[in-house]
Amino acid sequence: MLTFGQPMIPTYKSPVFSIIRLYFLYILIFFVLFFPSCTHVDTTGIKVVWIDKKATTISIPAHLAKASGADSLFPLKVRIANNKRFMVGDIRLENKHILFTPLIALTRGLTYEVLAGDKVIGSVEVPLADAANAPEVLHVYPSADTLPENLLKLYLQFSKPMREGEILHYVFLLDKNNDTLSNVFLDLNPALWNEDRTVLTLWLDPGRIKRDLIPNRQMGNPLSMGKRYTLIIANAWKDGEGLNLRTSFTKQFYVEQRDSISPNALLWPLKLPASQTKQPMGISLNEPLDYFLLQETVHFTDDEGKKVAGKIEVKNQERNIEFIPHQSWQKGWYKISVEHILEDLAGNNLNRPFDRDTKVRNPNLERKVVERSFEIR
Amino acid sequence: MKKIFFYMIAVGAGLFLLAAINHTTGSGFENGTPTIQSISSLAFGPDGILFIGDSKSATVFAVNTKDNKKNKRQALVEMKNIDQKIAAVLGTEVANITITDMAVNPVSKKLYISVQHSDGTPVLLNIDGDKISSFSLKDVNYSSVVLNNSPAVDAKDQRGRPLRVSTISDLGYADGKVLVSGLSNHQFSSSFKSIPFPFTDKQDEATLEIYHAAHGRYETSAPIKTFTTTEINGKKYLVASYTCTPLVLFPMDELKPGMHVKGRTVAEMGSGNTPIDMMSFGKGNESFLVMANTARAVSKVDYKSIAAFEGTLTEPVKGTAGVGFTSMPEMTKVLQMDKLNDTQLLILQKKANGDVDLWTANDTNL
Repeated sequence: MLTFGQPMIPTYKSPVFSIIRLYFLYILIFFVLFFPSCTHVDTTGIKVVWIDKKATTISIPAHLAKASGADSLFPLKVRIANNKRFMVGDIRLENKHILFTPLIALTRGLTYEVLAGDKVIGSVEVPLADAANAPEVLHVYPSADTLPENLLKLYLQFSKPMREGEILHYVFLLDKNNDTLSNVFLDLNPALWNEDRTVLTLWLDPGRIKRDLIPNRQMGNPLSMGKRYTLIIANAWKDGEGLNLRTSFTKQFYVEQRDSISPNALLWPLKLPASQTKQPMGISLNEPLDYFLLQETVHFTDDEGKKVAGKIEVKNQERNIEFIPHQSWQKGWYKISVEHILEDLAGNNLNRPFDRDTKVRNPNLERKVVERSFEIR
Repeated sequence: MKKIFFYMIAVGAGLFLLAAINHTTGSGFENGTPTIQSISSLAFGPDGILFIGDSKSATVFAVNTKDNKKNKRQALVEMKNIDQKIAAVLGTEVANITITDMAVNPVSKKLYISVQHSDGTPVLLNIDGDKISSFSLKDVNYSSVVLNNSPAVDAKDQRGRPLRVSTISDLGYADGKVLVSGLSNHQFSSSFKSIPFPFTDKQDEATLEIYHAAHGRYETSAPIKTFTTTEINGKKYLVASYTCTPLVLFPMDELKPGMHVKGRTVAEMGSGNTPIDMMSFGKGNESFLVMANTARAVSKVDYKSIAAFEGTLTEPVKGTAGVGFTSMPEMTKVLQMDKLNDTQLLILQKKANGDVDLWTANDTNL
C-alpha cells in the first residue's frame, strides 16, 4: 500500500527548516490534489478488489477520509470520473479501509473518483482486460453448409461469456452480391442466451417462414432455395470483459428445398454394439437435427425400465449420434425413447411439422415420446 | 402456582408468535435473501407484492416490498437520458446495461425498474423524481415457485453445462393467479402457465399448449412474447401476441391444465417486428389494447372492434390483417411501458437522437 511521502522528520524551529517544511507541505498538497486528478496511476492507496476476475469493490484507506477533514468515514462517495451522479452501493469499514461495493462489478477501462463532500480525494482506474483473452466464435450450428429454405434457427457458440444486448448489431446475413439482408432475424429482447452467455439462439423471423402469415405473403421466406448466403459475425461484438472478438466469423451456406416433413425416429438405422463392451450405440438420423435438442431428448432404458446412464455425442454435422454407456452393455433388450419435442433444422418435431396444414389429419399430435426396442446379443 | 403456569403459557405463546413473525408471514412466505439469478419480468400483485420472473433459475419470486402506502399524488414521471443516469448510478456505461422491465406499484405509484448488467448480474431499482435508488433484495419477505420441472432439467451438454434454458417472456397477475409465458432456447413452442397465488406446496399448475391458426389453414405452436388479460362482452380473455406478431385471443375459462387450446388470430401487426409489451388502457368510456413493438410505433386496438369481431372469431381471418389497429407515429421505439393509472401510461422510449427517456403518456398522446 502506498502512503503520502516519507515518515515525518522531527520538527526544527529554525527559519530554514520552516521554509523547507513549507515546501514539503506544498509538494504534499500538490500530490494530494493534483496528481490523482491528472493521471490514472494510483498514489493514494485506493485500490480495486478483485473477486473471481471481477472488480467488485473499491478499497479506500480510512486515513484518506480523515485527512480530508470529513466528520465521519461514511460521507465518502464514489462516481465515474467527471460524472455528476454518484454510484449506489454498500459502504463499510474493514481493517482501516473503507470498502465501497457497487451494485454491479466495476467496468474495465473506467476511472472512478472518490469524494469526501465536494472534494475529490483520489481515483482509481480499472485496467482493460488482457487482449490475449479475446473471445472467439467456436461454432455455429447447424454445422452443415447446405440448409433448408425454411431454416428456423442458428446457435452461435462462443469461447467466453459475451455481453448481452443489441445482438443484431453484430450478426448479418449477406446474399451472393454481399448485400446485407434486412429483417432476417427475430429481434428478441432479451435475447436467448444460455446461462453462462456462451451460446446464443438466433431465430430466423418465424412470421416470414410460416405459410400464409402476412409477413410470409409480403416478404417471402428469409432464405430462398438455390441461393448462396454468408453469415457474418462481426468482431466488434464484445465479451463480458469488454474485449472484442479476436476475429470476425463467416459461414457460407447453400439453400436447398423446404423441409416440411417431421423426423421419424422409427426409421433411424441403428448400429448395435456388442454385449460386455462399452462400445457406442450409433444412430443415423437420416438428416441433420437440432444439436442441443439431440443431447437432451434421446434416452435409453434397459429391459427392466431402468435408465441406462451414459453420454450422447452428436456427430457428422448433426446427422448421427452416438450413445456411450457408463457401464458395459448386457445381453438383452433395451429401449430408446425420443421425446416428441426433438426438431429438425426447420422446426418440424417428431409429432408435427413446423406449420401444420389443418386439412391433413395428424394422429400423432398427443404423443409424448417415440419408442423403439433393440436387442444386444 | 396457577398464575405461574398461565404466565409460562403466555410467554410460550408470545415466543411462538415472535418466531412465526420472524420466519414467515404465512402462505409460504419466508424471510431471507432469495437467490435471484436474473430479472426478466416484473409485475405487481396485491398489497405491494412484486412478482419477479427469473429466467435463469426458471422461478417466479413473490417479494413483499412492504411498499403499500397508498399514494393519491399522481405526479408526472419524467427522466431524460434515464439509461445514462442508471449506468452512472451503477458505475458503468450504457452499452453494459439492459433495462429488462419496469412496473409501477399500483398502490404507492412507485416505479420499479429491472436492469441486467452485461455480465448477467440483475439489479432492481426505484425511480422517485430524479432519484435512482436500489431496491435491496437482501433479507426480504418472499415466496417462490419453480416453473420448469421437466425431465430435461438434469440434462447436460457435451461440456457438462445444463441444457435446459428458457426465458420468461412475460408475467402477469389476474384474479389470484400468476400468469407466465415462456420461450425455449431450443424448441419453437409455447409454454404458458397459470399458477394460483399465494403459492402452495401443491402446485395446481396449468401447462398449456397453445396454437394459433393462420387464416384457418395452417396452425403453429409458437411462443408468446407478451400478453394481457381483458374482458370482452362480460367474458374474460387472454390477449397474447406472438413472436411473429399475430394478436391472438384465448377464453380464460378454456385455459385448463393439459388442454390443447387453440387461440384465434384476430390481427396481424406486420412483418419484421416483435411485440415488446401490451396492456389495456382507458380513454373516456373507451378501452384500448396498447402494444409496443420492436420495429414499429406503438399500436392501439379498440376493444370494441375486437368485441365486434367476436362473431367471427371462430372463423379464419380472411386475407386481411383482421381487426384494425392505429399506429401512433410519435411513439416509435418504445422499449417498455406500464400503467401509472387507468388513464396514464409510463413510457420508456428511445428517441430519434438515441436518448432513452422515461415519460408519462396520457389522453393527448394516446
